[in-house]
Amino acid sequence: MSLVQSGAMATAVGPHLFWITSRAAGVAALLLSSFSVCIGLLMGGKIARRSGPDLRVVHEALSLATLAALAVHGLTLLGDSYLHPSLADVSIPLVSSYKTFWTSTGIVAFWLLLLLGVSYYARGKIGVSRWRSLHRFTALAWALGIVHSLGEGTDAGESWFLAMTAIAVVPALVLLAIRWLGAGASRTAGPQVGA
Amino acid sequence: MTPDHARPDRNAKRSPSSGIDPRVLARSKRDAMQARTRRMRKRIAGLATALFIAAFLGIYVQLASGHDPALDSAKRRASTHLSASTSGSSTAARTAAAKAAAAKRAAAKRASERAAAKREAEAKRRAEQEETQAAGAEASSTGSEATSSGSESSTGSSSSSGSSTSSESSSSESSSSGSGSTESSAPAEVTTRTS
Repeated sequence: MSLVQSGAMATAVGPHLFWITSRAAGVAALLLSSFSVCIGLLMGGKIARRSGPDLRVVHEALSLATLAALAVHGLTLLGDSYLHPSLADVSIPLVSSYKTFWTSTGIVAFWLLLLLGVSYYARGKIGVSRWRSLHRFTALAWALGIVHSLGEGTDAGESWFLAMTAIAVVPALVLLAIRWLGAGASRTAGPQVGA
Repeated sequence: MTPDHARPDRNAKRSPSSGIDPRVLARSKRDAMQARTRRMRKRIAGLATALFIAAFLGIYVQLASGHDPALDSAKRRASTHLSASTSGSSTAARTAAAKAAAAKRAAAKRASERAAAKREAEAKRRAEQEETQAAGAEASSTGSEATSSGSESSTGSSSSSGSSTSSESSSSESSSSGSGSTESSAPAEVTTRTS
């Protein structure tokens, strides 16, 4: 591609830079959060107990990267000249007039992920067992994020996006199902043993 | 509880060269673990950045090449509107053209009618003129013969006055046919006059 062509492309795409950045950050956040959920489920279950410390580090780093990507995803929208949302529009549910339901889903998912993620550093005060039970709701926040991306995402109808989401989400869903089924089985087996 | 004498043995097992201080060994292990953690965090930060850049470039190229889903749908909407308006305008143009053609055909018909009437009037006028001339010649040749010739000449004058009237009407017809603005009213005049 010639220099003139690339220059023309840059000029044409220039006004959409904030929008592209926001979309790219959203895609990155979706993938990172899915990986993080996968590793969290691996850690919590009995599948990968041996490499626990390494997985904990990876899980923590992926969660922090997800939160950073989500912050970029929301904040870069403030600079978009077409949508032109306010800070309240991108941070408070049911304020934005643009696809209110889907936008609110994404905002709720972000706040839940932030609170549940950051609570890790306050688990001494919260109590480990309480924190652990609270931390399970992260899966719900992640699911809300997926719903937000499929409902509102600009690329949601694109085959590459759907394929990528399936690759990232399906393993996490399988692990989640294994975890729930395992928990359900142990819960039903527990009282029998006790009795 | 572990007996105190067992600890040196375990250290001795881990470091065959018994000359290394266990504290130093522990510190080096801790440092190695921290370095490993740092490396993993850096890798995940790199992975997150790479994901973001890949998504950004993908969306950027998609947008620049004109295949962006949002802009495509907007373009599709615009083209639908445009085609609808074009089809509407083409129908209107077709109707206008048909109307113009009909008007043209009517004008041509009127013009041919006018031309026929004009030809007829001209022929009538010539015939009357010839008649008058013949009557005049006859009267001049037989003027001195009989006393009833005065009545004949009066008849001739009356006929000539009639011819002058017809010539006036034909001249007015020709003037009316010459002016395009009075085309619509002209045929009515012509028909009434010719009839």
